[in-house]
Amino acid sequence: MSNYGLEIRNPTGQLVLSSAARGLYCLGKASQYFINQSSGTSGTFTGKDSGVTKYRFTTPGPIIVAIDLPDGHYVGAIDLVEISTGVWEITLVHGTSLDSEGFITTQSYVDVWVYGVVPGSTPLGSYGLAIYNAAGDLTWDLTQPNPLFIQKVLTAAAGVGFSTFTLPALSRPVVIGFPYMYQYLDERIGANTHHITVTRGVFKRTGSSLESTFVTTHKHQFFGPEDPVGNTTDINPIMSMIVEGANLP
Amino acid sequence: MTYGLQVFNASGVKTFDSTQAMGGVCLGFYTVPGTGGTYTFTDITGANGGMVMPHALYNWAGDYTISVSPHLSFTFPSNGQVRKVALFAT
Repeated sequence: MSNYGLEIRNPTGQLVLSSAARGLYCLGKASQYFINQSSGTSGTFTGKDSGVTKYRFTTPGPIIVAIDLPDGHYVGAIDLVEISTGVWEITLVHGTSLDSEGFITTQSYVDVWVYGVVPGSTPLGSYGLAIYNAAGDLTWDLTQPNPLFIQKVLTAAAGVGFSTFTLPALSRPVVIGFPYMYQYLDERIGANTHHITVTRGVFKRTGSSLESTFVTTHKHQFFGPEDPVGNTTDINPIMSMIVEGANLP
Repeated sequence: MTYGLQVFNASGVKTFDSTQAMGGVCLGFYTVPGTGGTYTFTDITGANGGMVMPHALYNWAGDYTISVSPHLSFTFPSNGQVRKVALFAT
């Protein structure tokens, strides 16, 4: 470290607090905004689309998003957009079961929290620890009730797709960072007739086990060349963080 | 614990424990232009490595390289894509 400030490492030597870095903390819970269910028919040209759930949160940003992992549920990320200045819209897929085509059967809301840096206008709490950098800027405000306290990092290499992770012993594991994985599958089902299926990476927790897998987000039928055009996959590495959600707002 | 730092809130709930924490510390949020860029942190010494977390929900920010000597540095190549990321030192 420089000749000023505080650094703390965990027992394996990883940096876990530094006055030269920026502490993040939970800014609050995103509000439920929109839900719909899957619609359409997969055996048509327009096809069938997955439903989604949407959430909103207002803060200047930038933000990162933490999402609950209810036991036995499928949870996946679709999008995060700043729809107007300081208004963030989060779109997810979430549900408990899949239909025969791999779509989530019934979309339902899940708890979503937003993390970010300590806004300059946030008053210090009266209890805890506040750390400033050499310039006098507040960089860690551990007086706030829910600082980012990462308790596990999950990683998987590109191209793996299906991975199983063991979660730490937490009352309510919550994840930051979702699989960025797509599949575009071309299946010939008859003379010049194809099914196109689009899938997206999601997490599914079962007890202390967390797996990355896929759910279907779109499927349609079309008449095309006799030879399938082939499958396209985009399976990027996984790097997600696990935090305790039991005390989040 | 035998050493380290624990922080509790006024209700007695532990909100931070340096013996259980991992994943590093956030160095800030950055918007990497399509032409790429390099971000170097001279105040952070002795980092074991780095981690890149997109602002977005996903957990992949495209290709990048991380070096730790002489200072922690993240380099994003030119790929025509604007990337919004949070950078972490570990």
